[in-house]
Amino acid sequence: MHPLILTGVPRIIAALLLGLAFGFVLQRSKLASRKTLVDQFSFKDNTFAITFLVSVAVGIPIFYFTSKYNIIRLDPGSYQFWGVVIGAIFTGLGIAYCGHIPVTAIASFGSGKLYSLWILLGMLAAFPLLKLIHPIVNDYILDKPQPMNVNALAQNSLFYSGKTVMLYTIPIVCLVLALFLRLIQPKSTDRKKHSKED
Amino acid sequence: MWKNISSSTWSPWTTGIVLAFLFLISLYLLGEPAGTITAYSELIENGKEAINGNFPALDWRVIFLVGIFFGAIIAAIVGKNFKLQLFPEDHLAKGPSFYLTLGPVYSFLGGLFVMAGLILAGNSFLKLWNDCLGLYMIVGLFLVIVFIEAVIIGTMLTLRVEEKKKK
Repeated sequence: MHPLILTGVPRIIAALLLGLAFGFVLQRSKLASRKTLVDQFSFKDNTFAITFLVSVAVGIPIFYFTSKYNIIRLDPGSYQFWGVVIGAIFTGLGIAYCGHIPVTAIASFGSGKLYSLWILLGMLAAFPLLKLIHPIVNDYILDKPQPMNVNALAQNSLFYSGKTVMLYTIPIVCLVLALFLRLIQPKSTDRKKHSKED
Repeated sequence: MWKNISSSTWSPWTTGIVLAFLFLISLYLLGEPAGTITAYSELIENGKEAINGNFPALDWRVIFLVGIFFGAIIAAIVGKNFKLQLFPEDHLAKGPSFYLTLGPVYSFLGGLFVMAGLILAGNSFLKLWNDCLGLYMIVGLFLVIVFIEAVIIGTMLTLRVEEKKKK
């Protein structure tokens, strides 16, 4: 069995349907709400972290078996160590201030939160800005000698390096963490109350 | 069942499972994860073409983002919680001197930093999330740094707000 890899109009329709599904899920689960992510980082509402951990716990075995039987093809792309580290620092700072990642900002704007337009404009402005300072970024970040070959590390997913023990260990750890986060979540951030506030 | 799906808030447990399957379907149907960083640069190119009076070519990556926008509209309308909101609640609480001036600047800069970070890191958050399910450890490093930093800065910001409230 192989991935379907649609082309032409069917690919566009599939992308549209997937987008609709993602948008629907993000809105209904309140992940599109700025408050969810802002409260996550002060541990007042652990919805985002629990969602992420559950998706990882469920996704790892599914991805493992589907890639093993060639139903999907995993391709991590190319990463650079300093790019990832400095990129993460910038992203963390940005999320703390605006409370959104790109997809949640789009879904938030779609659900009537007009202030998300500022966030989206900022996100789009990053492209010309990075283009402008591309030589500096290359000299000081991307072309710096890397402490390790992250692409070799990335290509060698734990799936392929034969460490199938991780197939069970990581999902269990993720589920335990998710349960722990649910237990320490303050009762004041009850989902219904949150829904009303939103 | 439809009423349940459309009107109630989904639990993070259900959402996590659904998102994992959506990532899988995307990889199966399209051969690559949807919502990559290219989609946003394509969106800018399409915008430029539209400004110049040309009809931009349909790109599936951009269509995915359009789908997210309309999916959220549909969810908000059927869930009866579509409400136009000009300013976030926490900005409104700080008064007009904040939400009319600094608030939008913070939002804009926040968005700029998020996307700049993702461009430097190599891809969009959705793609990194997707790679996480493939157990690529470098993505784990990214997410750990983002989380720890956002927790530290988020806590500092919350403490500042609470101190001001006490005063």
